[in-house]
Amino acid sequence: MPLNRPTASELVAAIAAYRQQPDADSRADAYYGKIIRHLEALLAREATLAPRYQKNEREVIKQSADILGLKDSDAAMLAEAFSQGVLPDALQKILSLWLPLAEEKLAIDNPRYPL
Amino acid sequence: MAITAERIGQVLPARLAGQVEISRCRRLTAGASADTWRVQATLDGQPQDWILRLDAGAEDLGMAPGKTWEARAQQAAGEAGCPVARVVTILSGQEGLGEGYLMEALPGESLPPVLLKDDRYRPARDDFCQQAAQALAAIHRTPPAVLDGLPVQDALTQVEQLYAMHQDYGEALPVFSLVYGWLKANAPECASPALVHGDFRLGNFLITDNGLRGVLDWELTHLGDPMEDLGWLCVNAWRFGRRHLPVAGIDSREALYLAYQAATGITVDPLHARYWELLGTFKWGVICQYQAYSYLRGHVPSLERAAIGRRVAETEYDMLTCLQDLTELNHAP
Repeated sequence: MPLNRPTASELVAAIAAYRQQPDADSRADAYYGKIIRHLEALLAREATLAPRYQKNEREVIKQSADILGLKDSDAAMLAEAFSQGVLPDALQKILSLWLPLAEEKLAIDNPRYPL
Repeated sequence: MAITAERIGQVLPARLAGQVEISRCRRLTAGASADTWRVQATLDGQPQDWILRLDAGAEDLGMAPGKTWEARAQQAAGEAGCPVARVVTILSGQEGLGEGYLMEALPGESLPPVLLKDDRYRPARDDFCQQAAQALAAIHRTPPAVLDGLPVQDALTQVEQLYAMHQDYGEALPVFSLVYGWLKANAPECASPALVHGDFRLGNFLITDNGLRGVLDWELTHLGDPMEDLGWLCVNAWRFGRRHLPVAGIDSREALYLAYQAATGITVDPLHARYWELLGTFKWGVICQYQAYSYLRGHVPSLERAAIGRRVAETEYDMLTCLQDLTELNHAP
């Protein structure tokens, strides 16, 4: 469950592009201003929290690969294995690993999201 | 050719029987699903307030059957008793405006935050489940024969289509793949496809003090499993922050299921309806990706589109909780 795109650098570029050519309508510009404040707060959280998140993500991927008996573990390989279907017992274990990680990701992307 | 008020003023009168005088024509939205105009006119001296929905410029996610089918489904559901705007005329595309249709404007509020918070709508909220279930019953009893040719989209068709879209974005997101694998293995069969609205959720209803006045936005209509509409209505994105009230942020699933049973005589299998809730959440996740990639690939240079990409995290969490609930329901005695 890598952090999603746009990446931090893509978001920074998107904000800069908007600021170079802001909406001429003041109401629309105020709306985009709100989006920019939201994204800047997200970027600040990402800078602080992403290293720990990524470490935990690697661990969850590794444990999930172990449950499925995969030799190697990366997100793409795991996604491919998941897409083939997971047996019910393994699914319970996998859900218990990934749900806390999803919450941790929301702490970066939207900590106010109701859980 | 760009659609303008002048062009509409030239085309519409020729489509309608009677003397038409257009007094005002203004664009309401030019968005993902339609180019929408409000047209005020007189027809044989009688004042008219119309909405014109055109295909022009609309994005195609590959899920919409087109404006002609949209209008025909809305008409047919209305004849079956669903509250909808009356379709005045359907444009074939030959008139110079592209595919589209003209319908009567209905009164009512559609904005979810207003509907969920304003005291004025409290009675409408109290009656919402019952009225939504009655509208769904009408949609689902619409004879499919009158919509012969409208595409059938069963669960498996949609799951495969959405996963192909997801894969095209090239991000390896194991939660999407986990849910895809489960949805594929557990897809319900659809022996008797019914008319499905396809986007039956808060935001697509016109509601007055007296309750549900109109079901809008039929652009994702198709033939399929009626439980799809019940599941989509409960997707967390359409609860607008009220996670504890699964039906549109207003009521419980049980209330909806009982109201649907009362309106149709069909007992809702919670596992079946919640399968579609998970599929709906998966769909919303892919739509968030679609919007983000429309920015990333340079099709729509919008900061809003960029921002929505980071809402995918919300859909991943929602998919996991939905899947956990489903596995627990599966094991319930």
